Amino acid sequence: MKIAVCVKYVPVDSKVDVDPKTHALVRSSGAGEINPADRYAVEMARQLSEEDGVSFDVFTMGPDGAARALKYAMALGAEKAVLLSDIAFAGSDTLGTAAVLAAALKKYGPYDLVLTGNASNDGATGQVGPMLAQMLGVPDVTNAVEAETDGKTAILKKKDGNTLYTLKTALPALASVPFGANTPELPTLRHQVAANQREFDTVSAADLGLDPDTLGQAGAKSIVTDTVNVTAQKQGIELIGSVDEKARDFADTVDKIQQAIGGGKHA
Amino acid sequence: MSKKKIGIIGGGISGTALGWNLCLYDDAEVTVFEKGRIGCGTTAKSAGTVCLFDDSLNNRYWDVRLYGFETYLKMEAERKGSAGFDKTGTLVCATSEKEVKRIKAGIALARSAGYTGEYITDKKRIHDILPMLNTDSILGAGYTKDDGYFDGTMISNTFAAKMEDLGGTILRGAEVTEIVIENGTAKGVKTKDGDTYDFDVVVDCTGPWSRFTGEMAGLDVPIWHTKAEAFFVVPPEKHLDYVFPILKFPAFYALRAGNNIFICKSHLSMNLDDPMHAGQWDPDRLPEREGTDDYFIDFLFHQFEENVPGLTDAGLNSSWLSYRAETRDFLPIVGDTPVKNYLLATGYGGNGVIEAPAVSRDLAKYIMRGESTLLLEEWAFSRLLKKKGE
Ligand SMILES: Cc1cc2nc3c(=O)[nH]c(=O)nc-3n(C[C@H](O)[C@H](O)[C@H](O)COP(=O)(O)OP(=O)(O)OC[C@H]3O[C@@H](n4cnc5c(N)ncnc54)[C@H](O)[C@@H]3O)c2cc1C
Repeated sequence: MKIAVCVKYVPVDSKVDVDPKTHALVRSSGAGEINPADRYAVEMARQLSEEDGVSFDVFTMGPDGAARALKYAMALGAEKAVLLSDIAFAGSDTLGTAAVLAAALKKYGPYDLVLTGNASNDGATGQVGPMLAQMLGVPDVTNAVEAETDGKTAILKKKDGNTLYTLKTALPALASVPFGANTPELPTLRHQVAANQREFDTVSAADLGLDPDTLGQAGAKSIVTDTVNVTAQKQGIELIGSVDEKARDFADTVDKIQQAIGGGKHA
Repeated sequence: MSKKKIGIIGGGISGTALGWNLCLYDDAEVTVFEKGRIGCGTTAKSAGTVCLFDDSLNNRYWDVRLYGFETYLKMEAERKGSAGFDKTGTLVCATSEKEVKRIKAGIALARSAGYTGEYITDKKRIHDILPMLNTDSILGAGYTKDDGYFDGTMISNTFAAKMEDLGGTILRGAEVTEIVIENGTAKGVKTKDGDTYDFDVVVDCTGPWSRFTGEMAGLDVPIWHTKAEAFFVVPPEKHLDYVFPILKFPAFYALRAGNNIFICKSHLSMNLDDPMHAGQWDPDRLPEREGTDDYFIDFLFHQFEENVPGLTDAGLNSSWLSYRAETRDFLPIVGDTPVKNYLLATGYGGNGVIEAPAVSRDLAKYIMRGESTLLLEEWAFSRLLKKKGE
């Protein structure tokens, strides 16, 4: 049984500006990491691959730096890693991204199960997984927190608020996995160092037989009309001192908050 | 009484330690400008180790080390947690006879100051202190239970609070964008908000930013950035049933950070001419976390294979990248510059937590009374100018 995990390499920086003309996000550093939710998709694949005869491959669309996300997955056992990288892919909307991924999965597949993160923490649309399923012509389950398979069917636990649904689907299928679905194993130093040396495929639009005009910004069906930089309003308060001092300061802080929101003083 | 007005740029450990020391003089009027939050720069990503003996700072400057350590111990005693002290002790491993000699001298110095310290050759005892170590790869190890690491950001905030208690001013979120120079003399600073402040003395404590702030004063501050790439790993045992001491090898060090172990290539093993190690970059572009290079993780892994096999299968949890502001001789730049009344307290490299208290004490005295010290003379800007001209 073959599993494909699609992951995104996202910027780590919260210091983000918005370009007033293009509404694109401008980051102060180029550093990135694997999208947080995608770690849980990789972990689901890793756990399933503990069964004999199950293996998983990893795909990402992005610039060269996105190979780091592949290396993370390789350190956790991904067999093949594929970087979908082409200037023609730049500026793709969710539909364009799904189209590239679908073409890649067809080229390297067929896959019995495709896993993605539920949403990326930068765009946060949650659209790519379901769009990809549509393009592959397979059923999809979002918010899947657990998976079991016998190679022909998959039993997926889907979380919806406080309700957990158990769904059975024929394979091939796609599941998108939310943040917090499981406890991701950490790559060990040994495995990470080995993964850093490993080869991965780099694939272009031409390799996938895709027409560049239908991709990237040129082919995007959606137009970004505005992007708002939301600043977190939360502020941490550091309590220092002995346990008693900390407890007293904490109680004072709670009082202040209660007063500010119009509540009474706590007992 | 007319007061001397001093403006300090940068609210890291350098700027806040200096600010507090200056405020101890009743004829000083001190303002610290910090463009972010106090202790948010290099200081925030520091390991904060202040070991009684290790190779991070030459034994020549033992008093600097001791003064730093005891300053923080007193801070911690005044208010628990205010220096973030974690007393783990330190194990310094010797890999050459030269190291053995240096460690033994450090132990003698520590003991002369009333602390414990011993040089251990019994491999079983070393193994008991740190079971994950390969004791075959070392000649012996210096060990003390008395030291540990501190929290540079806590310390900076404590210095800042103590400074404000003494009447000093801290302007948070205040970015200095111009240093006002008239006839080769610094007269004050301008901030991003368009405000101008007049000063008798301006001290640049901006660490890795001092290349940029130096340019505002028309100076080429000779510091390089070395990459400080720190990785947080979870040992295979997950929860250790012993206290993981600060572990020092010439090429790397490790210390506990909650249930993680903080690992980093040592600052003295960085080569300023190797573009993978050093360069001149923009610290404003540093990410909050990640941004590290495979090179460093590979390097540390190979060190561990040889020396700390128990960490080779540790899980890689997170990482961060920072820049140490390093000079050619890996010692800071303190005091006067060719621009009159524009002083530097920068280039602390990998030792700012250790060095800031003693340097700030001496620099404050120099600024307020014009009296220099041997330390200030050795760490003066002029030593680097001479080297440049040679
Ligand atoms: C991973 C790592 C491990 C380390 N381990 C140790 C250790 O174990 N022991 C030790 O002694 N040292 C250690 N160091 C070194 C130590 O942390 C530094 O030497 C020290 O923190 C430098 O302090 P600083 O105040 O000079 O610089 P910073 O902390 O960088 O402070 C400079 C401040 O200036 C501000 N600033 C910059 N430009 C402007 C402007 N234009 N206007 C206003 N404000 C401005 C910045 O926002 C910043 O807060 C380590 C460093 C790193 C990165």
